[in-house]
This record gives sequence, C-alpha cells and structure tokens, in this order.
Amino acid sequence: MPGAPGFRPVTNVADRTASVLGDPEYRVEGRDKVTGAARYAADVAMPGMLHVAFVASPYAHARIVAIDVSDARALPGVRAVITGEDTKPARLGRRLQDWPVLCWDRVLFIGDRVAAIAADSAAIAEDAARRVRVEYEELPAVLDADAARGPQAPVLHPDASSYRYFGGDRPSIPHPNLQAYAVHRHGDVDAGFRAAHRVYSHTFTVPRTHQAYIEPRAALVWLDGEVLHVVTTNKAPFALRQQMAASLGIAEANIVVDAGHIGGDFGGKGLSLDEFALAYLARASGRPVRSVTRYADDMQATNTRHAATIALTTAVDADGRILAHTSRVVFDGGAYAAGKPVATLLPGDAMLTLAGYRVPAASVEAMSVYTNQVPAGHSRAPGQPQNAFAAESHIDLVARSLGIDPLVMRERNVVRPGDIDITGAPWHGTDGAEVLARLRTAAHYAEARTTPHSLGAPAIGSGVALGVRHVGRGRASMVLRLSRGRVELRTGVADQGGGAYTLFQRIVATELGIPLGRVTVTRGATDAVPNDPGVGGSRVTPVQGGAALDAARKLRVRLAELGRALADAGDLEVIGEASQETHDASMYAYALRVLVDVETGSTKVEHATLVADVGTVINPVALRGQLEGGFVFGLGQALMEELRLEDGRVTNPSFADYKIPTIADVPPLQVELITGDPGPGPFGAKSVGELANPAVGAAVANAVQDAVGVRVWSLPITAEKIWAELTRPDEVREVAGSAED
Amino acid sequence: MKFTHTATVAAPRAKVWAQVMDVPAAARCVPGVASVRASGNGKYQGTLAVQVGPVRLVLDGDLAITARDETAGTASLRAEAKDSRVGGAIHATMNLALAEKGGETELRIDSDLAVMGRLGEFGQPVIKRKADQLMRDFAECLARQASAR
Amino acid sequence: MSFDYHAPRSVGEALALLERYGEDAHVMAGGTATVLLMRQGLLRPGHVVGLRAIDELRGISRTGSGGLRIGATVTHREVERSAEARAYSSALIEAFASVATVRIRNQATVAGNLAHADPAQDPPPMLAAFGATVNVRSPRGGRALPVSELAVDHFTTSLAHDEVITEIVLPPLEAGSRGTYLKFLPKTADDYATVSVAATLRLADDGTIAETRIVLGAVGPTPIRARRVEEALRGRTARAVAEAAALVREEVDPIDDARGSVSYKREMARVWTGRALARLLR
Ligand SMILES: Cc1cc2nc3c(=O)[nH]c(=O)nc-3n(C[C@H](O)[C@H](O)[C@H](O)COP(=O)(O)OP(=O)(O)OC[C@H]3O[C@@H](n4cnc5c(N)ncnc54)[C@H](O)[C@@H]3O)c2cc1C
Repeated sequence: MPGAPGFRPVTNVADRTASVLGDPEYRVEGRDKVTGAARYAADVAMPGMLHVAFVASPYAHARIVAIDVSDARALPGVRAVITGEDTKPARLGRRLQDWPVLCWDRVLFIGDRVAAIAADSAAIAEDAARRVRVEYEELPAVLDADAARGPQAPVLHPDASSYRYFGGDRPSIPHPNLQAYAVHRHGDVDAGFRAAHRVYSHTFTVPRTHQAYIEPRAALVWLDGEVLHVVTTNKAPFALRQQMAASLGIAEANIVVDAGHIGGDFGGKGLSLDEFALAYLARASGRPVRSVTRYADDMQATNTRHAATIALTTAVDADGRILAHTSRVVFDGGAYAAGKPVATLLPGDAMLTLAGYRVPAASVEAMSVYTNQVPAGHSRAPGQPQNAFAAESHIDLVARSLGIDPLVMRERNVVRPGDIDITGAPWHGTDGAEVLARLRTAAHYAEARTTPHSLGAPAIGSGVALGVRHVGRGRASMVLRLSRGRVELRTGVADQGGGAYTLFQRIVATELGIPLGRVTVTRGATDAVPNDPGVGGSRVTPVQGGAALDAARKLRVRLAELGRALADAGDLEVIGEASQETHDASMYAYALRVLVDVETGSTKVEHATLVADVGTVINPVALRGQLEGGFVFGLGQALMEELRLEDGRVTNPSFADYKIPTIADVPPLQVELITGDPGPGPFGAKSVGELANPAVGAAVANAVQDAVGVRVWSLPITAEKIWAELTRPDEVREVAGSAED
Repeated sequence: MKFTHTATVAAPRAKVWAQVMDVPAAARCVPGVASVRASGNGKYQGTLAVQVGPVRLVLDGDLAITARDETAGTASLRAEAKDSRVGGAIHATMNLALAEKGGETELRIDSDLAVMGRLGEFGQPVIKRKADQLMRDFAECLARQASAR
Repeated sequence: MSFDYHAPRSVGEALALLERYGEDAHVMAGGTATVLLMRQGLLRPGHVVGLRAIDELRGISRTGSGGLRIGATVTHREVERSAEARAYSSALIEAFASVATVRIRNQATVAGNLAHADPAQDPPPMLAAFGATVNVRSPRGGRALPVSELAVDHFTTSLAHDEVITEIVLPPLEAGSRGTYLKFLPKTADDYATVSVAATLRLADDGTIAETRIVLGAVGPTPIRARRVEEALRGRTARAVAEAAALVREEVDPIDDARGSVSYKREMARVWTGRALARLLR
C-alpha cells in the first residue's frame, strides 16, 4: 500500500499448542476474512487515483484501419488515452509473450483491446471508451481448431518468431497456427496393436469453461520516481514482475509487485492483462490508476480452460489388459498462448491421455491451436479435466464392451510403483491397487452394483473413475526471523484461499516445538522477500511448505550451534530454501451414484465416495476443503459448466446463465484418505489442490451409462444430451455407441 | 446470428425490386426506424429505436447497398449502427433475392447479425428472438407494401 | 452511474415524482432486477423512485370474499412464510419459494417480479393460473388488469411508464380447486426454470375434470396459457392426461439458449405438464 512497507501480518491467532498436525487448524487469516478486514486488490485506493476503461474489439478477427480518440480525450475528467500506437510492440504473457498490451494492427478475438483510458471516475472512463471511434476491416475468422490447421487458414501470428519466450528456445511447431505441438512415444506400439484381442477408438470433446473465481481481477499501478508499483490479483507476483520487466523494458529492480489476499484463482489468475496497460497510463497521467474487470469481460476476454477434442485408441488383450495406446489431443488455444506458463506451451498435463494405468507402449500427440476465440490458459489441473474425462470414459467403454466390470478393468490395469505408465517412465507414486481396494470397500461397490430399482422411479447407476496428479515441483525460499522468543516467517506467497499461511505456521511451530501463537507469518511484496514461484501447479505445500520447514530446521541448527534456547537466543535470521524436483504423483478415485430421470435426462449425483492418497496431513480442514471443493468444481464441469460461443462471442457471460453448482446441488461426499505413503513435502505431505476435480466428469458419464445405457461423449453431461441419446432411434444409437474398430 | 425470412408478394418482380431498392421507403418497414436519408454513394443514414422492456436503445448508423444485380434479382446490404449511450453496436449484412413465380414474387432475405459490446450482454438468445421478429416484420411489411401499390 | 434516489411515503408522492421526471425516472422496489440493469449500463435513469417506504404497498391479507391481497412491495420471502398465503393455496408458496435463493427472495418484491416480466420467472405463471389481477395507479387514475395481460413480450409489460402496481389480488378459489407449481431445474437448484408449469384443477362431482388452468413459464416471450390442453381435459379423467399434455408442444414458443434447445423445451413442456396434472389428479 502507498507509503506503507511491504509487510502485512496475516496471523493473529491466540496461543495454541504446537502438537498440531492432527488437530483441525484455525485459519490465520480467517478472522480478517469474515470480518471484512482482509484487503483485496480492488479494495486498495490511493489519493488522486484514476479509473480505467478499455476499448475492446467487437470482431473476432479484423484489421485496425484507424482509431480516433479525440472525442474521448476531449471529455472532461479524462486524464490519459492510449492506443496500440503508444504501446507497440509490447506484448504480454507468462511464457510466450504473444498478447499485445494493446493491439495496433490486428485484433484476434472479441475483447482484444485497442485503447485504454484513465479518468477521474469509472463512469467517465467508460463514457470516454464509448467515444473512441475505431474503424475496422473485418477479416475471416478462424473459429475452430481444425479449420485453423488447414492449408487455407489465415496465419494469425505471422510474426510469431519475434515473440519473447522465457527460458531457452521455443519448441518448434509444424504449422504456423499452432501454439504448441508435442509427441511422445515409448515401447513397441505396433507390436502392441498386432497382439491385440481388440482395439478401441473413441473421441471425446470438452468445452471452454471459466475458472469462476468470486473476486474480480483488479490492478492498481503507480509510479514512485522510477519505481513502478503494482497491486494485483496475480497469484505469482515474482513471475508478473519478470513479465512486466521484459515487456515494458523496465529493470525488475524498479518494479514492486504486491498481491494481497486473492479471492479465488483456480489457475486463472496467473495471467495478468490490465497491469501492463496500466503502467503506460500511470506514466501518461502521472497518477495512480486502477482497473477492476467486469465479470462479463472476464468471461469473454481473459483466459479460460481450453476446449479440447481427445481421440484415444487402445489395444487390449482378452482380459482387458492394455497393450498399447495412441492418442491425439487438440486443444483450442484461442487467440493467444500467453496464459500458459509451461515450457511446452501446452496445458500442463496435455500428454497424459491414459494416466494411472500401466501402458507398455504409447504414441501420444498433443497440440494447442491458435484460433480467433477467447484465449485459453490455465485452470485447475490444466489438461487433466479434458484428458481424464476422455481416458476414464474410454476405459469404461472398453470394459463394458469386453463384459468386464469397470472397477475390475481398472484393477487389472492400474499402475503400481515401478510400472511403466503413460509417460513411458516407471511410476513413482501411489500404489494404485491400494486406492482401488479402498474404493471397493468404502463405496460398498458390490452392493451398489446389484441394487435394483423400482419401476417408474429414476434410474440408478454407479460409475467409477480414477485420476492422477503430480506433487508440485519447483523452488522457493523464505526468511525466518527470531526476535525475543517469537519467530516471524516472511514469505512472498499470495494466498488464493488454499490456506498457505496457516500451513507455514503449523510447519514452523511443529518443527520448532513451539506454540502456534509464537509464529507469525507475514507476506511481503517482491521488494521485501526472497523470490517465490507463486501459487500454482500443486506447489504450495511441497515447495513453499518445504522452504518453511527448511527455515525452521536451519533455525534449530543455529540455536544448537549457539547452545541457546529459542527464548533467549536474541535476534537471528535464516533463509529457508526448498527445491522439490522429484516426479511424485498421487492418485485418487471416485465411485458415484447417480439418479437419472429417464423422461427428461436430468441427472443428480446422489452420493459420492472419494479415495485420495494425500500423504501426511498438515491442515486437515483445508485439505478436506480442497478435496470437497475439488469435487464440487468437477461436478460443475461434469454437469453444467460451459462457455457457450457463437461466432467467437460468449453468449452466457454471467453467472445467471453460466451455471456453477451451489451447495444445494452437492450430494453427500464420503472422503477416504490414504495417509500412510509419505510424499516429498514437509513431514511427508503431498498435494491436494488439483487432486480431486478432473475425474468427476467421467465418473458421472460412466454412472449415466450404467443407469440408462447411453453414453455422453462430451462435457457437460446435460439433461438434454442424455435425453437426446435416450430418444434417438435404436439403430442410430447402436452405431454411435459402438465407436470401436 | 443468421436468419432467413421469406415472404410472398402479390406483385411482379420488377415492381418489388423498385420498391425494395427505394431504401428510405423500404427502411420504414423496419419497426422503430425513425429517419433514413441518402448520404450519397449508395449510402444512407438512419436511426433505429428499439425497446426491450426498460432498456431503450437508439441506434444511429449507416446502411449501404454493397451489391445489386437487377437481372438476377439480388442485392446485398450492409448496416452498421451504434448506440453511444449504452455502448454497443449492431452489424448486419442482408442478402436479398427476388424470384418471380407466376405473377407473384418470392422475397427472400438472408441476414447475418452481430450484436456487440454491452448491448450484447442483455442476453443473446433474447436479442436473437427480437432480431428474428424484426426481420420477419420487415419482410412482411415489404411484401404488404409492394402488394398494395 | 449517478442518479437521485427518491423515497416517497405515499403512492401519490411516487406518482408525482414520476410525472415530474418523466422518462428520466425509474420505479424501483427491491432493486434486484433494476440494479443489475443499471450496473450493466443498460438502464441509466437520472431519478430512481423507491417504493419501499410506502406503507400502503405493504401487507398480505385475505379479502372478504376469501381471496388474497398481496401488497406490491411484499417480498417473495414474506409470501413464502405467510400463513394467509398458505391458507389460500400451498401452490402459491411453492411458486414463490422456487425463486432463486433466500437472499434474492428476501429482497425481491411481488410487483417488481411481475413488472420485470422475464418469462422465466416463477410467480407470474402461478398468479396467472389463479386468475390474479393487479391494481395499477398512474397520475391519470387507477385500473385493474389480469396478470395474464401484464406481460406482452420478453421483459416488456403493458404498463405505461408512469403506472405503478399497488397490489395483486387473487380471487377466491372455487371449492375443490387445487393448484401446483413445478419448476424443472436440470442443472442447479439456483437457476431459472428450463420450463415451469403452474396448474389449477377442479373435479366435477362425477370425478371428471371440471376445469383446469395451465400456465407455463420459460417457454415463450411471456407466460403461456395452455388452452388446448385445458380444452382437451374438460370433462375427461386422468386417462386423458398424456394425450392432452402432448398438445402443449405446439402451444409453447421457446428459444434456444443455455437451458436447452427449442425441441428439448417443447418436449419438457409436455413432460412437466403431464407431471403437474398427474400431481393434481393424485
Ligand atoms: C440472482 C437472481 C436470480 C433470480 N432467479 C429467479 C428465479 O429463479 N425465479 C424468478 O422468478 N425470478 C428470479 N429472479 C428475478 C427476480 O424475481 C426479480 O429480479 C425480482 O422479482 C424483481 O423484484 P424487485 O422488487 O427486486 O424489482 P426491481 O428490481 O425493483 O424492479 C424490477 C422492475 O419492476 C418495476 N417495478 C417494481 N415495482 C413496481 C411497481 N410496484 N409497479 C410498477 N413497476 C414496478 C421496476 O421499475 C423495474 O423495471 C432472479 C434475480 C436475481 C438477481
């Protein structure tokens, strides 16, 4: 905040014992949140602050012929107006900087920005935005990923070779409209297919979805001499500093990024947009400038989950054992790849098309395609909800076709430590057999499958699905200070609601054997704490938690060296560091029971059992919250969530029409934890933030087929899709349902 | 959003053609059109007032005949209009085709409409329904006018 | 967004304000619909005339003849919890309790609901099925009109800009008449209906259907009265329901949107009409 130092205490907890790990935790920032004291980016104001509005393209693809801002500039209260001419050639992005801060020659999707205005009030800024006259020449829009790869398709990024790519060389691409392309091969695929008893091919589709965080994106930017200050909703402030430095040509030392509480992220808030244009406006106006994104704009013009088409082919023997697998995943990346942080420029787990199984031979192809649609970025377990929906539907279809019980099919194929999985490497993670065994007992699987249902009542069905998620990797560091018997941990983590500060406090207190109340956690802006990789990739517990643990250990060692007790050691400071690079993974599995209204197709999940391998539990309440929340998140994408697009325009850009589940829709969820297999995180912890959501869609689809005998090949599994399958003439259904070779 | 509307006019094609190509007169067939005047080069300026419940829009814009082929009985029009109060715009292209069928003329209008900006947030499905209605009224009114004269 | 907010204490004062500011004024009750439109920038009144401080617009009571009077600014939640409303018909409670969430129901008013005229709303079909009328006042005087004549198109009513609904009056129910309200929510419990059916039904002494009134929500530009279905059921029994309900497919006029395609909604109108009737005939 202006003037104030970068530190804000986030703990204010009364003394509690440090024998904590088993006890339910008390959220250190909970009080501030429920009393409204917690500060979010949109709450921060500065004297003299201006408000920002953007002018956005109404076209999916067009050339900018001319922009006339004179009327906007003439409006009283307008302090600065900038266009792409002022920002060119600046582009933004997390890994590949391909998204213009403001467009100057062409716009590539509806919502692409061409001008920005700073004014005394938001109303004036908006009014001015309406007065900007932009002349466009409409160009043919490429609205689907197949068309974009055709020989006739207009090249959307002819200057791609000049774009900045962080960290080495950008992977090569075989078609100019690809954002990314990757292949993987292991084992003797041909031999696997030759030996097959049967070969099955199925194709699935998954739509664009929004992360549906509650807090709107917001940014406040001002210049203090040469130093650019940025208050943001970005969950990776150090990464944003790097991106801004590169794209604006400012030294990182002259940028301070401050991210406070974040009101939900689910992957979407790793990409910042406004901050870049705001830097220009702050310079142009000499004033602090703030923007708060309207939700409709967030849904139309930020970074959604990728829509995808996933084609899977698997060769099996007569017992259903997987011999070989080929797949092709086409992600619609939208207009820009800027939202993707990983080196491949694919959604993180794009290549895991049959995760959790022994796959002796595989050939996987995945790509992300430029189109004139809403750009796609990261969303909770990137790539997985698409691939898990496909894989777990596919496995079920194979099982049904072979007359094998779906759970037995999975038991025969699930990975166990040392098995070769879809990555071609030996599996290093959960013993899949244990997860499925727990599921079988916990869900009373045998009984559930034989329960008859009465005539006229909704049809009952049960479905299973499993999923896999890596334990987060990366490096982090933080500072631990001892002063007068109290310790203070200083971190750069901006908590997006996962409970990071509580986690750190419990780790430090546990390691030092002191009460929680003697450990304070403070968050600092980028100028006040060591580099932090930010929240994401299931990283906070194993990586940042690891740094907190390392700090506590170092302090203990120093105390031992000094021969002092904590209470009388004076002032000490250590830096905790962690580097978690092991390729560990966790597994989870669902058994769901659904009720299907056969006249309407309406489906309700009536009960769910989730078995999850979580390692050591540090925050028991938050851990449960992540698993339950993950389930609800997955349930939304399974049953209702979809950004509907027409000619590149989102036609349901509000929560009145883009529905997410409410608590009334959530069935009883039985959570079974496997804690006996320690992970690489502190005290043996693993990651859970992205562990539970991806497999829900397939579990529902499988249960629906069990209930009414029809297969839904795309998400969301709406009543209408089921109804359409149910009312389709039988002959036609047969054909669609047996998509096998 | 794309629409197709047809109407049968009890008049010969040539007469309907003349009627339709008299843009200011034809435009009066669009419910809510306040004024249309020629601005030269086959272009026209006009205002369209639309009300959906409490939301009142005044769309100022241009209409241009982008192609005309009297022999074939086809013409294309492009309309662009903007509401500067609410913030939003409408773009439409219309392809007209006239076919004579035993003394009567079949009028067919294929239109492609985009509702952009804030305006579009009112609810695309409802807007679509409104636009559909508007175009249908337009086609029917044209047919009525041409039959009457 | 800047405007003057007026809080008149009487309908007379409210009407005077509407007269004074003309088109620049907008009536607001609970504000749940109005404020959203204002925030979207679609509605930009210079003067907002709030109705909630007007005592004469409040209260629910039985009328002398056994009907029900609901004041314009009575909230959905008040109706839902009203003993008078429940005594009138539990179907009325079902319809009001189906609206959104308790947060919205605590704020949204009955007249605001009717005047908003979103065809996907829950109370209007039920009120229409009960044959309710609204009393309306303007600077020119008062009039009464049936709820079924209020909505004329999506979000559009037959009210003039300066007309204020003062109360909703439900006529006494005929002896033996029953009502029901069903809302089809295939996605989430917090949504507008994909289709909804409000129905009332009275049996004749011989057990045949003497009269039924069926009004559907969310499947047309206004609530849709299923007159053909009603006709087909007169003098018939439960056995005629399936065939009669099928007629509704051609009576509704839905749009294709996030809640379903036109053909799906037509079919669902049939299914839910059948279910509502089955419920009334149980
Ligand atoms: C999140 C959400 C979910 C919803 N879900 C549902 C749902 O499931 N089912 C459903 O039925 N509805 C639903 N609604 C709509 C809700 O019912 C309406 O918004 C509400 O009834 C409007 O009432 P209000 O008092 O808030 O009206 P206001 O917003 O105050 O006014 C609405 C309109 O009515 C006019 N008006 C108000 N009072 C009068 C009067 N006395 N005389 C004349 N005109 C008047 C106003 O001028 C305005 O045009 C939902 C709304 C929201 C915000």
